Amino acid sequence: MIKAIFYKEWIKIRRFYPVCAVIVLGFTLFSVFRVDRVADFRGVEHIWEVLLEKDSVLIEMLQYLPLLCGILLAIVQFVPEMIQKRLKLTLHLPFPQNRMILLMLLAGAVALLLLFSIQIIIIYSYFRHILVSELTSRILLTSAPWFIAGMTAYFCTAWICLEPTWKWRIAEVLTATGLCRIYFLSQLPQAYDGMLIWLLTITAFTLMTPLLSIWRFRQGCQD
Amino acid sequence: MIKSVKTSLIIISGLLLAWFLPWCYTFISASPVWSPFTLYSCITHCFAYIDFDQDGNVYGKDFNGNTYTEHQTDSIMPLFYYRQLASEGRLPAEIEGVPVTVETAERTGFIFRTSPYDVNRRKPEIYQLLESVPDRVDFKAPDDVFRITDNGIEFIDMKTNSINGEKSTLFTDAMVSCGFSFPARIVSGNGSPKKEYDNGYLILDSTGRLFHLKQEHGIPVVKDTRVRTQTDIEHIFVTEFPDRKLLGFVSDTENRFYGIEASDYSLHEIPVSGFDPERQEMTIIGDMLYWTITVSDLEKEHLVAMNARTWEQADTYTREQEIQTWEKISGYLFPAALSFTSPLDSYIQPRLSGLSFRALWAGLILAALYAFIRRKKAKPALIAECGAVAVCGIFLFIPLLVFSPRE
Repeated sequence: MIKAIFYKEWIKIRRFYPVCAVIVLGFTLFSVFRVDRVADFRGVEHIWEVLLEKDSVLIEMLQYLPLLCGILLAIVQFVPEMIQKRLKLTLHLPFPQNRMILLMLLAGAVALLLLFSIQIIIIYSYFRHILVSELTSRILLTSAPWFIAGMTAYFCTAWICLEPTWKWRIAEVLTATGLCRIYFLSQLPQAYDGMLIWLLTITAFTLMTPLLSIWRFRQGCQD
Repeated sequence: MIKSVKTSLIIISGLLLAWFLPWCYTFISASPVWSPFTLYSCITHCFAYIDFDQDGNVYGKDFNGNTYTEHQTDSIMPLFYYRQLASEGRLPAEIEGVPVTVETAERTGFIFRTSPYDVNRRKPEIYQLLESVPDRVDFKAPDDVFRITDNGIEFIDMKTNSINGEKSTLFTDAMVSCGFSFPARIVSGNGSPKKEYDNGYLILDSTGRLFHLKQEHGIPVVKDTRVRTQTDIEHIFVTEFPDRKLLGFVSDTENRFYGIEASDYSLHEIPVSGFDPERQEMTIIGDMLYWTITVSDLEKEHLVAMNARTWEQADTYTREQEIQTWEKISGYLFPAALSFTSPLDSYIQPRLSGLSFRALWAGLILAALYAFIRRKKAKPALIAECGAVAVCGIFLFIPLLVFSPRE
């Protein structure tokens, strides 16, 4: 059954995911290539100087990409369930309902994690060759909230998509917007170092919120 | 499980409102706080500030109540407005027996600024050491950076991203032979090549001794400054002012603030009666006769005039920041405020501030309103929710209305 759930989720995202992967990885490679070109033209020392003297980590163009991926992936995965009234059928399958939803979310989360991991590997692999570990970790730590925001946005969007009533959905959009805003309050390098644990706690909470929507759906809440 | 998710949702929504509503209120109602630009006058020996009349004309006023025209203001602050005075042929030849020329006024004037926002931020522990005696007039950006480890100083070639072993050993040996004990506690310097001259780095070693490190013709120049503050040094600011008199400033753990002279590393306490660089902002506008030092925080602005020749206090004045009406009203509306940013640092972290019991009345009214709206609800749950609304006010009133079941 687990295999079947994963397969069903794959079918839903099989067109979107490769396109998304190409765009995300394309942007990531472009941002790294752009840094490489600057290093070619102005010398690698210029890259070091920017990192040491300016409040920049050179890959700011990737900031909102994980967030966008998370939102779109959740829409692709869960909007058809609601529009085509398939959720009721899914919940009638002989499988624990909460587990089913969590597995659906897990499928999407793994897909996102895979994308984000490849992004991180590309960034790390390039910068560790030209920079000392202190500066490479500065870039990665600064970008960490962006990736966690991607996961949070994914769970929040799933929560909103699965919600059966508009009144709650609006409240959920406002709550989710507030939560996602927390991840983008500062562009300063390493500003979030002490906050990462709180950001992960928010993500852990949002993972559970789609269960609330499913519970409300089962309770018969509807407009 | 659903019950805990619901409770968490209500709490998180409440926290979001505790962040958003006070922010909105401040955004709409806050008015700018303006402190007039104030300097110590070496002519009147009194603080004087610049203000504007209703027609927008500039005038000066001193703390003795005297008012000056713009023209007169230039005259009582001759070392600040020396260009204007010189252009009008009014620059005095000497002040307090010290000869004054445009050149000396220009060379000895400086502005030093530090703010908690700059101090409290994460910086990479990688530094650039310039060649202090460059072949050309301008400094050249170095090809390497350095870090200080537990065992020595390491120079890393930026082009190859590899450690320059020879230079690292040379500098480590020079530092060790001078008595430096690794690792360093504080490293401070200005690695930018866009400056007139280079004062190198001031480095506090693991035993609390302050060393001065420079690079001259590629050779390490390390000196034990033998600077001894009353308690441990906590912050170091290397300065490169045009007159080259100062090496920098340091503050100790008991918030005493000192200046270090470049020629002999002599230490002079600056009479600011407490300056915490992590919580207070400092501006020094200095000239050859007096420094006007402004130490400010959210509560007050403390002005000190210091005689630059004797390092003694010449005058002092404290300006209390008044709590504005909108801030007072805020205390009646919100029991607290959550924020993630602060003007005192560049870190994002949750901080609760503005705890106010005066907001209890609003909480009680909202609790009564909530009890009326949810009157059909079971008594024990309703009592608990009303209690929560009474304490947390509007922050929980809205989430409970939206997310808590009606019955």
